[in-house]
Amino acid sequence: MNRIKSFLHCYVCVMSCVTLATAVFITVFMPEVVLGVELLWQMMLVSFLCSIFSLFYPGKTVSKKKMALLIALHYVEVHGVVLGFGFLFSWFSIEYLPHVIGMLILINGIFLLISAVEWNREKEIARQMNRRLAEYQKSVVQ
Amino acid sequence: MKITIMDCPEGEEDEIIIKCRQVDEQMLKMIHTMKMGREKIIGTKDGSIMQIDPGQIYYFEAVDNRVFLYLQKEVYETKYKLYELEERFRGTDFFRASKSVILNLSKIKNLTPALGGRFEAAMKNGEKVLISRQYVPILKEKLGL
Repeated sequence: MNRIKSFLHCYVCVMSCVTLATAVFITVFMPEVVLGVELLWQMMLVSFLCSIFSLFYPGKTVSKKKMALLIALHYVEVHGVVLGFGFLFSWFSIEYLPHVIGMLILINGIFLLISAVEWNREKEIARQMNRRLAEYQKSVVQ
Repeated sequence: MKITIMDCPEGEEDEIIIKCRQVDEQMLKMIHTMKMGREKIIGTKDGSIMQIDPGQIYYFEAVDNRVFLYLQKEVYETKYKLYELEERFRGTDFFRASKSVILNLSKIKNLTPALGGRFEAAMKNGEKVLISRQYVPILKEKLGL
């Protein structure tokens, strides 16, 4: 259940960032273009495929090295999915370098942003737990 | 809460009677603490046997089908399985932190986030123990979050 919740949380974050990134990309590179509703379904599919990797983060204890490797794999998977499906759905032209660079900047920007949000969320949880832990230990001593 | 201590007649076993309207979690914890105060865990090290007060234990760890208990500096082996210890210390300061570790909440100095939804517990003896993502909700619940 926690895994599903975590996945949904990740999906919502990715979908929000993909929406923002799409708006930026279209505004910068193709402000005149008229887009169909299929773009929304494509964005949802890509967001889903980028988030699904979060289900593979293990619940059991793994070493820091293995966890770093999993994050690196996730990073590669996100690039593969966005660039692959972006090319398939003609979101950008692979021959036009500014498009490719723009896509890479947006993918990395989203990945960093979501990682930072997630890290801050966990830091906040740790802060709350430490506060409760201190209170708990104080009450036990008394 | 009123506390009454009565003289116990010669030959009778010491007895604690709890008179309350409802056995809530706090009451259960108190009962466990009273029970634990007398119960000791047997630990072995280099062929010698020790009776260990559970309050001194920092954490239990299962390694290759053997379970070890960690004190501030010493490590002892215990014959209990991890699930038996989990059951035995249910409702006390001990909680499952991963598939192979049971931690003592009162011996944690602080918690920091580790990668991938996990947390790292810095123990008061300087050791660091990882809390798996799947057991974090148990810790949060224990802390009332």
